[in-house]
Amino acid sequence: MSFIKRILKALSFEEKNAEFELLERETGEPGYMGGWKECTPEEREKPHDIPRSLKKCNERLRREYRIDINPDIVVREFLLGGSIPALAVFVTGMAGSSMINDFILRDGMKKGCMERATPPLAEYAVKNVFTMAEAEISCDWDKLKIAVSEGRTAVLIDGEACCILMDTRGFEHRSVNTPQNEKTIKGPQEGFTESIRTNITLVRRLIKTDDLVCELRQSGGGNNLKIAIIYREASANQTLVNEVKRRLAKIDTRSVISAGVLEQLTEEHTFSPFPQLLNTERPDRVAAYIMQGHVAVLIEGSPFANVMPVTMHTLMASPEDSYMREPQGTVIRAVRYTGALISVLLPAYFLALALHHQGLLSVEVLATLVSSRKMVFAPLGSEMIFLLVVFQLIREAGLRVPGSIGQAIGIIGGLILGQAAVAANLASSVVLIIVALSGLGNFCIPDYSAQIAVSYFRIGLVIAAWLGGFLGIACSIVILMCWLCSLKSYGVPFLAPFSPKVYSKYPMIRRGPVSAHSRASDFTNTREDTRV
Amino acid sequence: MRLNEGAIGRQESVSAISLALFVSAVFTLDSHFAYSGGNSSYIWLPLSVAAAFGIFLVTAIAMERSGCPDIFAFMRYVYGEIAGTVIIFLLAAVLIYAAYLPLEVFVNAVHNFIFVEAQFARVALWLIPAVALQAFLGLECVGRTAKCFAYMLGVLLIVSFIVPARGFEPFRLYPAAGDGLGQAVKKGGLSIARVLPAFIAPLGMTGGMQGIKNVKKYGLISACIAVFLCAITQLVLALSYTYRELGELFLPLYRINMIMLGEGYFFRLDKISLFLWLIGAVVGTGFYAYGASLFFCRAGRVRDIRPAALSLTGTVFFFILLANSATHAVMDAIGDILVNWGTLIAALPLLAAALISAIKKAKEKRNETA
Repeated sequence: MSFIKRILKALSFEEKNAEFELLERETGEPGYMGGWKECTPEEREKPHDIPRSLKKCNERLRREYRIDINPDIVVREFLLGGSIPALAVFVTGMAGSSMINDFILRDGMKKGCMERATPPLAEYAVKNVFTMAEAEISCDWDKLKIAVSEGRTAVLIDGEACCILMDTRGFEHRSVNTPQNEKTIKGPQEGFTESIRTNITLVRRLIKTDDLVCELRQSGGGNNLKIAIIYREASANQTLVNEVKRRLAKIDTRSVISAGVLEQLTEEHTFSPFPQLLNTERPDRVAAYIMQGHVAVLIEGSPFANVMPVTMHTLMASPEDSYMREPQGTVIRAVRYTGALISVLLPAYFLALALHHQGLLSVEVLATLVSSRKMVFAPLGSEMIFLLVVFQLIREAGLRVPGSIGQAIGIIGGLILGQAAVAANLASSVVLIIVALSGLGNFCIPDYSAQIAVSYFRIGLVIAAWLGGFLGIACSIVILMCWLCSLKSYGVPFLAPFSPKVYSKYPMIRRGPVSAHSRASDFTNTREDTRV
Repeated sequence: MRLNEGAIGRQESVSAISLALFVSAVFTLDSHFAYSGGNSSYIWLPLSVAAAFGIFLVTAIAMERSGCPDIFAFMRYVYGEIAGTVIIFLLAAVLIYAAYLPLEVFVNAVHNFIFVEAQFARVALWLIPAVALQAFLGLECVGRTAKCFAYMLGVLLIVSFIVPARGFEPFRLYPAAGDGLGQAVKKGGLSIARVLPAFIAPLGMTGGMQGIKNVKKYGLISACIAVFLCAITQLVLALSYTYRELGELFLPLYRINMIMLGEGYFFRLDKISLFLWLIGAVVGTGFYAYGASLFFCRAGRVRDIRPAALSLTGTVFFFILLANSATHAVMDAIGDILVNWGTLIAALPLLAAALISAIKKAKEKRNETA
């Protein structure tokens, strides 16, 4: 026994995890603010009330915010009306200092402004002293801390078991700009920013109805980011709204940083290559879906919105479709679907023909293929997979580097590397063309996540075709279709409105006249849709 | 309970039932049995589908009148707990055999026509995951997959009719009624066993297909589609080949393009049609495999269908291997029994149940009035 223990010791199995120790402080509580889920039960059960004594509040704030090592947290003591001790708490950089100076400190320190005040003083101060548009009174300590972290300013008054929270947010953020990944020619040129307030405004500007609801709540992650659930109350299916809320409420993780993380935490099939909600940076697109009865979720710090539920046809639609004339929209969609089919099937089809079913090829095609592969040493299957991987490499490299260099990488990768590979007999020109065509087809898919999913299927089908020819392709297609048929997004089958058939055929290949879009999709089962 | 029934609509249900019916009726037909004495299959095959639908309808009406929501409750109501369970197991076995038949035909076709050098088991192994996944994921998956492929197979069928049209000759219909009315009736009667499982399965899927009334409706639409398609397919075959040629052909609907097209660009596409039909067969088999798993689970009161789906698909795979191994005599014997007695084995419990339930109901009414 001792021998085993010695081995375990030698292999450092008994040593404590260094990372864990780093998180521990002397008192045992976690070394970061706001992570209440990680702290001890005693810490969790601490009273959430605000102490009446300003001294105690000051001490608690300094302790909990670690002001000794956190110089950007400001606890400013002042005399309200020149006589009542008060505190203003804010985060430098998050809160606008001019607003605090002009409308909180200057107004609050005016002598005699609290002369006629009667308890509760906080209420009097809100009504008579501070000239702020957004001000509320809260008695919850946690709410105070969250508000301060958001850039608001909290004012605590001696003898009051509550605080005044005023909106002084004045942090820097990117201004509204053209969407980077969903560009349109005819559509609006505005995209979401990292500021949730700006994003909500962008949506509200497009939906000016009284039934538009924008519920703000904490994300559930340890970093306490704010999320907004946007829907039309008179139209959205209440079950869908409740399901979205339920899934958001279930989130219990260390951090939720962006819409992509939120997507993974709320979707049903985590391991599905296909996304189950739409990730878009266009307010017009979000507004259109909200009008159709969908629900959108925005998160602070992310220029993307999650729209749910979605179907495969939603992922294949581009915002541009609606802004073009009907025939143009329909033809573009048909081209897009053809591109997607080519992207998935062409490499596998070619490989199956060339390796297993040469009888289906004409003599001319066979001769071309053989002559192009004369000096290529790798087997056809591995050559195809090699080129597909190279294509993914070029694409990934082009995406990750800055704009002009990215374009250069695309050109170098596509032309020079391709030519060089053929010249060096690493690949044949026919296979290169097939891979390039399938790559081109892949770019026809508007949704980035769907593009990636399709590239997985393409490689899967290539392997199946390599091993089993058309038999492998047929079986893989059935498996793929089975998967797609069983996939659901917030209870809506992924292949709707084709299977199950529902009224709204228009998000499919045929775009349909704009007048036909007046009715909400059947699969969202909206409240206003009473027609059969 | 995790029986993966879900809920599917009319189009999905009809696609699944019709596909299973068509695959079982057309592709599992033994050419020697069907055509050797004269070809009248374009008459008796649709009639056998209609007869199977009749048995289904009688059972469905009896179920409706007895107030049983599905065939499991109905069998237990009619035969009692133990005998009812045994009969449900028997029907599950019928469905397993129905799943085995088309798959075996297509594994043989792929093995004989395409991958001659490959091992038989390896060819079969490709199809099993696709069937197992459908049965595993449940009725929603089966119905929707069937609908997705139904349009493609419909177009393929039309192409299969158009392409050989220039070679149609009416003289090939001779002798007009095949080898006599008696033989046609006999063949039609025996063929009921082939198509009846496609009607038995929905009787157990009333939950997913939204009630017995809807199942009846879906059965009627599917039967109409299958009768029409079977009749026209067999007629096209009869116009394309003489009965002597057909008697020797394996999978004539696939061979029709290959032989009739001659040299030309499209000549090379015939093999693709085999794989498209294979997709149809896999989806049809998935319907049977799910049905068998559901019957098995409901009979054995198993609460999760997934292990049953995998193991029963494995059983189908085992049967396919057995039928093509040195010990194929076992499967041949089972096949012989089912060819000769299959209709009785599958139809008798249903018709008897309908009769007994009618008597029981009448008795109950009499007791009530008394």
